[in-house]
Amino acid sequence: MGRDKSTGELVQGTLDMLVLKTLTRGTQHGWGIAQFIHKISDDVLRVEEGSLYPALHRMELEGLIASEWGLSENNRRAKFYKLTAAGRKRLATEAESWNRLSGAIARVMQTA
Amino acid sequence: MKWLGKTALRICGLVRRPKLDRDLDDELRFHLEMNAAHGKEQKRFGNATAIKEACRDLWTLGSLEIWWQDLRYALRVLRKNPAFTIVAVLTLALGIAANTAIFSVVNGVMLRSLPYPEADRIAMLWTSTPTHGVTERPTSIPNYEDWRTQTRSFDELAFYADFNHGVLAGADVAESEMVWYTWTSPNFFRALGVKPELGRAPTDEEFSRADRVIVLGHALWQRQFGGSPAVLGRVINLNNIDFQVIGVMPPGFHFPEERFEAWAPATASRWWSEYRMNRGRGAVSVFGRLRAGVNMQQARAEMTTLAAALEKQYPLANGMSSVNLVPLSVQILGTTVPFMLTILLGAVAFVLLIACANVANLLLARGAFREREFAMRTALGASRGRLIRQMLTESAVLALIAACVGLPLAALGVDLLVRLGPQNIPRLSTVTIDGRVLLFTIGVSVLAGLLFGLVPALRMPASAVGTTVRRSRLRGVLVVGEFALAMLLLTGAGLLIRSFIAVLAVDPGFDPKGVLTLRMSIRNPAQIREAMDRIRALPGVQAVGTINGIFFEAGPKAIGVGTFHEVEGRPMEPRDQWKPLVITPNSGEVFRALGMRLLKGRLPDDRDDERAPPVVAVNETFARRFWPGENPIGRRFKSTFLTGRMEWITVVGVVQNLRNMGLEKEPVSQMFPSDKQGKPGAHLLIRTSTDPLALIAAVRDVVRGIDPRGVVWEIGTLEQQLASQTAQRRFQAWLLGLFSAIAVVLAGVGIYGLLHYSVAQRTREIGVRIALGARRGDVVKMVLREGMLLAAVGVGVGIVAALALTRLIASLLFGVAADDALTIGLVATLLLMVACAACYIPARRATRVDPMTALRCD
Repeated sequence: MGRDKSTGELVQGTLDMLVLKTLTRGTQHGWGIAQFIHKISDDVLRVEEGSLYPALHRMELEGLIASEWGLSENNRRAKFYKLTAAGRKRLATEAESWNRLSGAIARVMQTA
Repeated sequence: MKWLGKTALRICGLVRRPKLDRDLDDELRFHLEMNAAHGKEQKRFGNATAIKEACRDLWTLGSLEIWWQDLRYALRVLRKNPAFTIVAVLTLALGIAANTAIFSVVNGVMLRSLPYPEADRIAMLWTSTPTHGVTERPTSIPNYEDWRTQTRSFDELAFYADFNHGVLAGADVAESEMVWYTWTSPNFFRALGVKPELGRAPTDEEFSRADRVIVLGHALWQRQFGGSPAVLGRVINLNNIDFQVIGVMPPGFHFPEERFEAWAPATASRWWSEYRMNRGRGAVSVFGRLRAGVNMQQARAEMTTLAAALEKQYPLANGMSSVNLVPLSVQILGTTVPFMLTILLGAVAFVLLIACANVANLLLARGAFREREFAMRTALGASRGRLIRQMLTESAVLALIAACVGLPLAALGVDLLVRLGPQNIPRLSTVTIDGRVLLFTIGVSVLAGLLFGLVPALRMPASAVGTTVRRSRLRGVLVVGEFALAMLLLTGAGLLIRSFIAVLAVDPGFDPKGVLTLRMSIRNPAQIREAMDRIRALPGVQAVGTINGIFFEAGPKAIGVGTFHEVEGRPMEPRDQWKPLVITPNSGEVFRALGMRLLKGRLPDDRDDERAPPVVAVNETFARRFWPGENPIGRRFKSTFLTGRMEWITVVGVVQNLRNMGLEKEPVSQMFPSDKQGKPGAHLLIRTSTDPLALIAAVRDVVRGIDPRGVVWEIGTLEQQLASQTAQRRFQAWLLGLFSAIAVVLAGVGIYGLLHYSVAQRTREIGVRIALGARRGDVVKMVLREGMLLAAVGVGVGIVAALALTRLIASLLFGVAADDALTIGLVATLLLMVACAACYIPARRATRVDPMTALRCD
C-alpha cells in the first residue's frame, strides 16, 4: 500500500466538500471533477476513482447533487453532475467549519 | 423520514437494477476513455469491479442483496458436495436433536410456569421444627386461622388436607373406583386463581354450613359421567359420604398432586370438629397468594415473626415450631429433578460441541480445496470481510438445514423421554415442543453454525503462504478437544452406569418374582381375613399376606429409646443417639409372600392375640443395635407402640433385613407385630406360581363378593415396584450412556476424517517412503502414531477434566467413587480402542499407495 504521502489522500468529507466546491462552477462529469481538483491543487491532490464515484453516487442519493446524461466536450455520452440547493447549503456549512478548523491549525502551527 | 426516502430509492434501485448497472458501466468507461485520451496510465485506475460494487451497494439494498446472493451460493456449494453436506448435516442434526429434546423437558418441567395465574406469587407455608431439621410439617387449624387473620403479606391463605382416598360410588357413577380427594378451605380455588369449567366453586356459606358439596376433576368427570353437563346437582358417594356435585375443574388442573381428582369443603369431613380446636394437631397444608408489592423475602420475615409470637403464646402446642415458606414451583419441582436435568443439559451441550468440532474439521479440510476459489474471488475484488461473511452464511445454512433434520428427531426423542421418563419428574407428561423450544433450537443451531463456521473463516488466509501447516495444527487441536469432551462424558456415564449396576445388585431383602401387589377398599380386619382366605384358595396362589408398604420414602417417625422407654438391661440412650425405627403392620403369610427368611425364633401369629402378651419379630438392624452379639430372642423392651399403653414387648423372632429405606440406603430398625396385636397392612401381597397379573380379575371378584362396592387399586407386581425404585437411575444411565455413545462415535469420525485427509495430502511422501523400502507395517505405524498421539492427548486432557468435574455428580453415585480408577481406566481404554479402529482405516489406505502413481501425481 506504499503510496506517496505528498500526493495527499483525501479524507472522507473533505472530498465531498471539494466536489461540491468544484460544481459551483457549473455542471461537470466525474473525470472533469477529478481533473479540476488535481489541476487547481497544483497536482497535490489526486482523487482516486475508487473514492470519487462512490462519493458522487452517495451525494446524489443524499440529494446534494443531481445528475443528467449529456455530451462531453469530445462528444461522448457522459454523466454530468450539478449542485442542488441542498448541496449549496451543505457546502456553505462545510466551508465555514473547514475555514475555522484550518485557521485554527495554522495558528497553532505558527505559534508552536 | 429521510431514511424512509432513501430506502424507497433503494428499492427502486433494486427494480431498475439493469439500467443502473449499464449507466455505471458507461460512466466508468467514459472515465477510462478520457484517461486514455489524456495519456494516463491505465493501472492507476483502481479495481473496476470494486468501484462498481461500492457504487451499486449505495443504490440497491446492498446488504440484503449480498445476503441473498450468499445464500444462493451457499446452497449451491452444499448441493455440489453431497458427501460433505450429508455428513455435516447428520452430525449436527444429532447434536441439535439431543439438545432440543432435553431442552423440551427442561422447558416443560422447569421453565414453563405452573398453570395458575401469576403462579410465581403462590407459596407453600409449612410448619417447621428447625432444631430437629423438620422443614415441612402440616399445620394445625387454629394456627392456620391465626396466620390467615394476622398476615399482611398474603391476599389469600388457603389450605388442603391431602391424606384422603375413598371409593367413589353412586347411582350415576359408571364404575366404582378409588378416588383421591382433598378437603379444602373455602378460598382454595380463589387462592390458586382457577375457576371451574362447569358449575362453580363452594361458597363461604356452604363452608360454614358444612354442606356436603364437591368439585370434580375433568378426567374423573369424563371417565365416570361421560363429560355430561347433567352431572351438576347429582349426588355421588365418596368414602361413604354423599356429596352434591357443584362444579368440574378444567382439564390439567391437578392440585396439590396429579392423583387428586375431587375437592370438598373441609367442614364436611369427619375430622373437622375434632381438629379445628386442636392446636397441637398438624392437619392441613397451607398455601397462599402474595399480596401485590410484597415479595417472598418480606412474606417470610413477617410469617417468621408471626410464628414466633404464636410459639410464645401457645408454648405447649407450638413449642420449637416456626414457619417455612417454599415457592410453589420449588415445592413441585423438588431438588433432585433440576439437578438431573442440568446434568443432562450439560451432557448434550458437550455432544453438540463435539459435533461442532467435527464440522469445523470438515470445513477446514474442505477449506484447503477451496483456497483457489477464494484466491480467485479476492482477485476479482471481494474483500476478506465479504469472504468471511460468505463462509459464515454457508455455516448458518448448514446449521439450519441440520435443525430441520434434527427437529423431527427431537420430537421422537421427546416422545420417548415422556414415555420412558421416571414418575418422579413432575409435569413430564405435558412436555411438548413449543414456541420457546423452537426458538431455542434455532438459536442453538445458529450459534453452533457461527461456532464451527468462525474457526475456519478466521483462519482464512490473507495470503496462502504457510496456511496448510497452521490449518492441520488447528485440526489436531479440534480432535484433541473432541476426545477430551468424549472422555469427560464417558467417565460421567460410566460412573452412573456402574452406580446403576451396583443398585441393581443390592439385595432388597425379598424375592420380587411372581408377586402381585394391590390395595383393597376393605378395611374391616375380619373381612380382610376372609378375602385373604378366598384368594389363598385361588389356583396358583402360594401365599397371601398384607404389609404396610415396603419402602418408606417419606422417612419414618424417628423414634428412639425415649418413646420406647427402655430396653431391658440397658441404660437410656441420650437423645442425639436415637435412630429411626419403624413398626410395620402386617398379616397373613406376608413373610412367605415376600420370600423373607426367618433367621431366629418364630414369627408372631394367631396365638399372639389381644389377650396374649405382646410380641414382635425384629429385623437384623434392630437386633444388632440393641443386642449386638447376643441372642435377642426373649429380650424385652417397654413401649406404647402396640396398644397405646405402656407395656413390655417381647422379641420372639429375628427376620432378614428389608431395604426399608429404599435400595440405596441402609435399612433402619424395623419390627413386625401380629395383626391381632397390631393391625393388618394396607398392601395385599399374593405370591403365585403363575403370571401374577393374570390373577387380577379373580382377586377383584373376591373383593366384590365380600363388599359389592369394593374396589382394588394400585395394582402391580413387586417387580414393578422394585423397578420404580431404580427408574430414575435407569433413566439417567441410559440417557448419559446414549449421549456418550454418540460422543464417542463422533470423536471417532472426527479422527478418521483428519487422518483420511492427512493421508491424502501425504500421498507423495508415503509413496517416496514406500519406494525407499518402507514396509507396510512402518507406514501403518506412522499413520497410527499421528492419530493415536492426538487421541491420547485428548484422553489425557479428558481424564484431568473428569477428575475435576465428576465430583459434581458425587451425590448421584452409589457404590463407586467419583475418581474411580477402574471406571476411568476402562473408559479411556474403550476410547483409545475406538480411536485405534478409526485410525486403522486411513492407515490401511496409506499402505496401498502405489509409489509410481504417487510420484507421478502433481
